Amino acid sequence: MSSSFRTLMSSGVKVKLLFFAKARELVGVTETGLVVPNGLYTQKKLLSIIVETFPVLCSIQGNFIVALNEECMDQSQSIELKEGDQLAVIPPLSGG
Amino acid sequence: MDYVSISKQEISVEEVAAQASSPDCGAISLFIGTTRNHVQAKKVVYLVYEAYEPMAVKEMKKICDEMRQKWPIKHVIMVHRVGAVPIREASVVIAVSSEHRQEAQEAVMWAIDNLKARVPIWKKEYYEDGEKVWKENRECPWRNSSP
Repeated sequence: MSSSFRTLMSSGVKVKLLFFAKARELVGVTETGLVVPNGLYTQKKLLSIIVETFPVLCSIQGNFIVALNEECMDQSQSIELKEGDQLAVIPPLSGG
Repeated sequence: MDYVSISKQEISVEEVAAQASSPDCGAISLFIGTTRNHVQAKKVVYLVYEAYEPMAVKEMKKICDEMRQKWPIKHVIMVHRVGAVPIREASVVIAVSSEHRQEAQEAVMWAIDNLKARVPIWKKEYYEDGEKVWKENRECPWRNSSP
């Protein structure tokens, strides 16, 4: 995350964003800080903010989800992000 | 007992089975997922796994809880390895003990299906020709349906 982005979005909530597997390779870091405006967020909105902030993730758009504080979100769920919340970009799983 | 773990070390199948054993059980059912040396015509050299560890552990514990609601089982041991896993070595070992074999066998099958669908772990396949690719489990509900 560039410092210029953080300054630009300075009035908001600072969350942690983690990347795994292919998403981690595309973005080039394992984690970063992200400041998002106050308000309610759905899974869909979080996905679009993340892709907007990291356009390199366009190539896997539609093929990852966002986890919040180590839990999957329901599609219909609307949440208010809190300072220090942990978001994670979760590409299709391949454990086992 | 439920025991789940993400391990950087080689998994000892014997140790996992021993952990699951119990004097009042007549069966221990095991699943061992190992690195295969080929995918169709391509030769695989090794796999590299990574995990979102705290979430993976949480999700594995949830799987244990749900298994206990479905089957009367004694112990559940679930260990997944991360890092490079050479051919023939285990990436995942699940052991379940129960008084009679059927519960343990059904529970183990259900556990590995759910692990593949829900636990945030990823593997990259490294081929002999230098190519490598991130794999996607068909059990994963949000993967694109295209191959």
